[in-house]
Amino acid sequence: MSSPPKPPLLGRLLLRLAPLGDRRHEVEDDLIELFTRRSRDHGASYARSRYLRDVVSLVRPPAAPATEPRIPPGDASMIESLLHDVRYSVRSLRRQPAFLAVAALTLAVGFAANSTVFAVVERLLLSSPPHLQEPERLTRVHIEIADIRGGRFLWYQTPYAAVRDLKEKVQGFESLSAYRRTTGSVGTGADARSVTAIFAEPDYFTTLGVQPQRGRFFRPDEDHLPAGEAVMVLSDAFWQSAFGRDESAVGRELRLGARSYTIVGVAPRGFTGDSFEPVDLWVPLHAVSAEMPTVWTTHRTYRTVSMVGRIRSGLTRETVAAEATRIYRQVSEGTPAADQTALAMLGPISPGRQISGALTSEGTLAIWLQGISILVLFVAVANVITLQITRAAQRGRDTAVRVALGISRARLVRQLIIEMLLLGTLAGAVALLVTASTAAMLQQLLTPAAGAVDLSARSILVTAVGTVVAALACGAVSAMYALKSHAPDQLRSGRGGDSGMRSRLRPALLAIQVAVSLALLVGAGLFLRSTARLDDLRFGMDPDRVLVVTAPLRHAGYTVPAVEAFYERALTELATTPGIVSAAAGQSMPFNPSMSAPLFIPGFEQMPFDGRTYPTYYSVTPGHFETVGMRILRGRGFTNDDGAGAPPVMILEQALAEHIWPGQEALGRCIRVGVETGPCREIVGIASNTRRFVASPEGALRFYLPIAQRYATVTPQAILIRPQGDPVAAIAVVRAALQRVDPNLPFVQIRVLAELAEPEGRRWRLGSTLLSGFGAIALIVASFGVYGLLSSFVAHRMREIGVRLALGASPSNVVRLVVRQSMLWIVTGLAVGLAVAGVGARYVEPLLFETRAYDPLVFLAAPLLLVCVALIASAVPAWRAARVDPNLTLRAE
Amino acid sequence: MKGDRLGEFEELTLLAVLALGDSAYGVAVQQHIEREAAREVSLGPVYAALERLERKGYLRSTMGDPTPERGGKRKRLFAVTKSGMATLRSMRQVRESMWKAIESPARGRS
Repeated sequence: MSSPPKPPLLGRLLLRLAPLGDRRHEVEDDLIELFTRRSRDHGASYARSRYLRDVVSLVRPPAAPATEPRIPPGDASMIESLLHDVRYSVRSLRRQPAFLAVAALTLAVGFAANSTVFAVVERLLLSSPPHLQEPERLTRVHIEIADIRGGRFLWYQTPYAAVRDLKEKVQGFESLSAYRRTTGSVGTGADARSVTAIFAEPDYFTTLGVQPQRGRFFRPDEDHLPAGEAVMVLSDAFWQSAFGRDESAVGRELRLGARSYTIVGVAPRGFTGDSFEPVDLWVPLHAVSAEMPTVWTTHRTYRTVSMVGRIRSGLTRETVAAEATRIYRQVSEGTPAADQTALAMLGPISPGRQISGALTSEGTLAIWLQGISILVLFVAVANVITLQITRAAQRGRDTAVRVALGISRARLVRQLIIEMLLLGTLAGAVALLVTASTAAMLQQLLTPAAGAVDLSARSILVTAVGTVVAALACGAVSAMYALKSHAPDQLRSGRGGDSGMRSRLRPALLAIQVAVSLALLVGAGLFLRSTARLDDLRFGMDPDRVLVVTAPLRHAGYTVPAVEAFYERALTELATTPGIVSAAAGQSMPFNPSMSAPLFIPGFEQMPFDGRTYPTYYSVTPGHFETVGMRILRGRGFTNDDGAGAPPVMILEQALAEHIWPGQEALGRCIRVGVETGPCREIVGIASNTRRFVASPEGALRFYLPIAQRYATVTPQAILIRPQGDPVAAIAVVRAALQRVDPNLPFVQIRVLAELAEPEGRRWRLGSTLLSGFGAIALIVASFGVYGLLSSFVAHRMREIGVRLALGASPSNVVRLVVRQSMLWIVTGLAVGLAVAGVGARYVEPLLFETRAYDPLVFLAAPLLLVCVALIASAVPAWRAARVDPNLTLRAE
Repeated sequence: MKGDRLGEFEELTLLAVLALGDSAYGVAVQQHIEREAAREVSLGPVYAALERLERKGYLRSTMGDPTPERGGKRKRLFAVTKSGMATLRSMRQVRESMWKAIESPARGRS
């Protein structure tokens, strides 16, 4: 007797996938009964074919209608079916909020990093300041000359006399215009405010090709000797902040410094001249006469103005530069500026480029950051693909059924791509939302001078294109996977897809992510150590407890005696102001450059200094040392008795005393300052050393003179004030006291002294901030990678884990199994990352501040942090694995 | 599938259960419809219709006694409820009156 015919294999397999729940046995029995009956009545082949169709009719899910887009009838339009797919994708994404959140967040981090950096790159390298016509023909002009020591020196500013000659004679310039940027003060007393003013020739505006939005710019006849007409153009921003966009502002008077100007026009919104730096107002160039020696227009080495030129169309920068060089050499011949090696340099107006056209350090940094963030985006895309594949495996049966039901592969691919596009759009929107503020922050960090960065249409477009490309990549790769994995044998296996861990690519990717994160973290750590050292640095004073006042009194028209009188009265007033401990005035202030003078020391044939160690001096009033927090180690400080007529005295910092008389007492000896025949100044005190960030010997040796006995004619420039308690809180008190002294005072700047030290520390702070930021981003993305990989592992091994648990494995065994999967690759990544960081650190070492390249703390802490983050990322998949119900997984088979 | 209305296939299923009396289970219903309606019917829609009708309260099901032809296994037997009967009757009434209206158009106008 031949064995009875059996139902077709494919049908039986499909049946196993059908979501029948507790009706399975009943249904299976019905099918067998029908099959037997049909084989008997109509033959085996009929029975087989009907069996298959019955099974298909069973798995077609009325049980889960939401998972199956109804395949539209043949005449449905393309758009309708597309809408179907979009709705389907939205539903399917919403059903898995955890996947949606992790994938969208990963992509958003990648996008945000890129669009942030791109916004800055665009500002620094690709864009030109607003309202400039044909900016590619605009150029800044600088003169490079031979310096006395045999090197070359590039002057950013040029003597006005030379500019006039170049203007007249260089044919390659359509126009060339001179300007000078300064900080001034408008208004007096309580209304005083600091402004950025540009003194400009009338053709400055025509050279740039800009039109006023209100009134007019300068007429050619308004800029003349001695000081031009008192006319003024406002920037839109200043018109807004000072006049609230009042139309009647044009025609009104505004006092800048010592002079009152008539406002004749307002520049268009956003116009800031040939750079991005904010400008408040423009006045004619010759108005600078008020604050400069009268020779400024004729002197050949008095470099006072900047140049911006427009190259004639058709000419290159090089040809015009050559012509300008020739003419500059020609016109300076026979003057003190004569230099047959002088070069006219034509530089771009882009803020990220140097005059030579090479990138500035900020521009280079921005390009590097762009590279890092593209890498981060790649990693993010890879992670999303991993997650998507995991997800595909989880719903492999669903997809298998749909394929069995005849959904076309093109349709399947289209759905996956639509899904990824939706995800990408969400991530892109989130990224753009944060980019607006992060880009401004990054810009502020990199080049505060380049002005506020805003999201340009180009930045938004680039983000949008990036979004689409990344989404298509995710969609395409996961679709490829989906197509490959839905061959019929996948239906039999009962678990979709190949095992995630079997493929070497994804764990290798994880290792790379870990390596990149680690390298960045080590870099961040080294710079953080540097900034920690900076913060610990003993300056030998208390810069964060002291206020410094600077006032542009000369600019505001004060005569030298008036300036001196002001400082004297201010110190008297401050001495009696409650809350002020002490105050002192000086011709310079700590952290600012000071002067040096020839020194003649009795007993020395040759002075014990070379060019780099030559001492600098500060002229100060008696309260200086106690105010800034220096100690007098031996001898005494200055007193009011050290006046103009008293015996000349000086105080040395200990380092200088040691340098001149090693091992001997300097107190009581004397030094002639300035002239060899002058009086010998007695050293009456030795002060504690002060120091600055930059560990260069230059200017490291310092001494102090009483300002009343100063060597050169200098006026006081700053007041140092030590208030009780918080210096920031005392700023208002100080301002009020100074206004009592002089109600017509122009705007005075009052800062905490530490702010002056800040620019020197900027390099390290920038390094630590940027590297920490990008290290954190890489870490976040890598942790998503660990999460995705382990989730995929758990999803694929659900059955195996179930079996293990059923056979008595404890949940902690299972957790260990899962975590071990990733740890191998994480450790590999750590090893690679440490190697990369080790090599890189040696290159970074010169950039660090008192930190060794192989700082053990950093090289220990960074991997530890990474391992912790990886363990946290492993927690969710491991927890999920430990909670696998062996009954469910086994019964599902 | 809202409300009490019956789809065409549901009506056929309900009628088949009624016709099969106390031996109405999945396979029997499928065979009955296939034979009477002279069209190919798969098992899936039959189950779906039975399930829907039971949810609507037109059918009830019980597990029957084991029978020899199923190797001693039990099967689910369906029976029409009162409300199922009422619905079938009212549908029949509607149809009959409508057919009458078509066949005698003059009276249909009154």
